Amino acid sequence: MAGSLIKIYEEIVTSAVSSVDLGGANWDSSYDVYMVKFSNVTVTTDSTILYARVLKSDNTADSTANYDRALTILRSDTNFTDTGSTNQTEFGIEILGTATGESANGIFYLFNFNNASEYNFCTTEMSNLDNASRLIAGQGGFVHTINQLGKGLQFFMSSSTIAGGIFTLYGLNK
Amino acid sequence: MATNLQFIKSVEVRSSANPEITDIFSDEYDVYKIYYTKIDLGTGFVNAWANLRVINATTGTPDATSNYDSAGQMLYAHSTSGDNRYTNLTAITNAFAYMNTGPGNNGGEITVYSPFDSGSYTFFGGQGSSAFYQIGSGSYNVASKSIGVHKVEQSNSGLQILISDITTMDIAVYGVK
Repeated sequence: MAGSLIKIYEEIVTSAVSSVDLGGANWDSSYDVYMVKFSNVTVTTDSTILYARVLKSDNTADSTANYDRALTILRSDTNFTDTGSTNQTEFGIEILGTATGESANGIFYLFNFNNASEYNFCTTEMSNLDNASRLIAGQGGFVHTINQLGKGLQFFMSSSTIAGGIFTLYGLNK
Repeated sequence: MATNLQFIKSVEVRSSANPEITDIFSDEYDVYKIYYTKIDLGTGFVNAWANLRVINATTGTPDATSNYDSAGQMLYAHSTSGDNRYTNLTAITNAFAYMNTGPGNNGGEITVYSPFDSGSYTFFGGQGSSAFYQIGSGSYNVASKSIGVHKVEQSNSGLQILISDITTMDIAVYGVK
């Protein structure tokens, strides 16, 4: 039987990079639904934020204020909270640090990225250790509120660089 | 075209206490999907939790040190949601939904990140749907969203499920290549 989870592109970061583009020039528009996997993502500078943006048809990240998000924050140290925001310039994943074990891990699903007349939607499942070594993760999703093609996601930091991690883009075959 | 969700192992747990799911993690994959279903517990077990420990790849034994943090949100059909959160316990605790017997048979999925990497912690995420029994008023659906971490940089080869009387439980493990 033919497989249904098809790897499109993978980037393994072993030395610091300013960003990781999953898609862009490597985007394959054959699929309706995509899965993004990232694991053991570490940062160079303490207390910097890992972000994601949608890659546009010209393979650059869209930094316009068109990202809305809705999340339940699960955490081991205190009560869970619901959080939401609108018209942001990116989707915030986690504040990360440089202590042992502090990293981001997650699986996102991407919807409507090949439809120029729809918004780009994304569901998020994560399990992270933040800059204070707290187990914490936002479960929910975000939407890129522009009717335009999306060609994947760019991961980048609020400042400094991504130190390590494995980032993989898959398509779900029909 | 080859798939990148690759079957590793299935286990049919029968009449077992605290079963160990061995030799499922390796350097072939960084992320795993584990599905559990067909669960029946022994008579008298009500609203039990599937607590988890990693199995150290070097020693071959479950790690019972106080290095597990977890957080699970229980979404009840009959009541407001409940939050379970713990730090520095000896297992991932009260995270992955309830398990019962009979019609409380449940199912769920657990994602495991970097378990075999001796240079990173092992992270968990997951979701389940099951039944919650309330004495005198019957059973209700409860769904869970959960996360966890084992805070030791070590290579792990499997998982132990801490339930002392499992009649049946089927588990399937896949690697995400």
